[in-house]
Amino acid sequence: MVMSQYKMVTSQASELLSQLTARWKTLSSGTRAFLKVGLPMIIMVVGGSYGLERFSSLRYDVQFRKRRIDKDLEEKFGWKKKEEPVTLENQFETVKKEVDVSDWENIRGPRPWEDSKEFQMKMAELRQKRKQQSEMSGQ
Amino acid sequence: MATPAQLGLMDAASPVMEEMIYFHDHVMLVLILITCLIFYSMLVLISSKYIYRFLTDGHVIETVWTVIPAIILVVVALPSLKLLYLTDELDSPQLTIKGVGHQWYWSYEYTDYYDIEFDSYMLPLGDLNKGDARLLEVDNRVVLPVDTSVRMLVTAADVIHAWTVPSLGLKMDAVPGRLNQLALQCSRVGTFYGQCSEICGANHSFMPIVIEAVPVETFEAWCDAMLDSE
Repeated sequence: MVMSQYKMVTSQASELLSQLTARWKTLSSGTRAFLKVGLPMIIMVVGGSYGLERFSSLRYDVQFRKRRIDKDLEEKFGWKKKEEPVTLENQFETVKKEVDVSDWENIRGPRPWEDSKEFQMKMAELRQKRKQQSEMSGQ
Repeated sequence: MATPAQLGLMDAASPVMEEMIYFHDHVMLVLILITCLIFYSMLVLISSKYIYRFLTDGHVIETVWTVIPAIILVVVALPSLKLLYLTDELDSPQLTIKGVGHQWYWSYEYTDYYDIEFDSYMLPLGDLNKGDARLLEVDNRVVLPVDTSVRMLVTAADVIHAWTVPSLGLKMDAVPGRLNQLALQCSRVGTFYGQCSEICGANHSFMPIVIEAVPVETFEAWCDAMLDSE
């Protein structure tokens, strides 16, 4: 019984194969060449890049592996992050308030015939002035 | 730091810079191949004794030399775009540091946990120790924990500056009234130098940037020392 079923399946398979072979032979040589060579190449090139991504992404996973220091800082050293987290938006608001782009003094550099010591002293005065201003605004 | 007469890129200290070096090598290979092919073709044509005066067109070769350059452009563009988006990726930064450019120094603020603020001036020649780099050393360095994702916010207080560290593959304009964001990650301990990269006045060449990547314990000790000194 099993042998007869096996023989029936194999005969059907061989009949299907002969039909496909006959149909293949009727196709024009151009179409056959595309199906035989061109299409497999395209599938390999496009599909291969999808398949290789699995292997190439390993390089990014290893290199860009990051460690979390907030746990180290909080558990080991008892540091606590501020309640309001530091974000791009709130830092931008701070910058807008602190920096007045219209209040800007042009600092002229020393000419070749000038003594650069005076220039350096003026820079030191400016630094001192800025430091005092920031301390006053901080208070 | 760059060595004298250095021609190539600096050694990478961050994963992004490593990828940039790979991309540079990849594109350089393509360019060298194309250049060698062109030179060879020129030599062969010039030294050839054959002339065909009825040559008007060649459809097959014209198709080949249109399709192949298109494929070459795709081969260059795909990794380029991948790298471009990779440089902008900022995934849950652990620390945020604000760098403000002034004429002619940088100031830094660490405000995640405590408020640490300091100025970073170039060390004058008279203050350098033996072995220090001239025009690159600063009095206060930017200290960061290694292997940590850091967000660097860059702005300026007067004119446009640019915050640059070549070893980390970083460069960002510091524009007054604008806050630019950079993703920073040092993958090894070390000291990395950079210089201001946007002309900002007489001392534009004398406002360097120094980053020191250290283990977390050293970073914590440095923060404690900075808080105590304030």
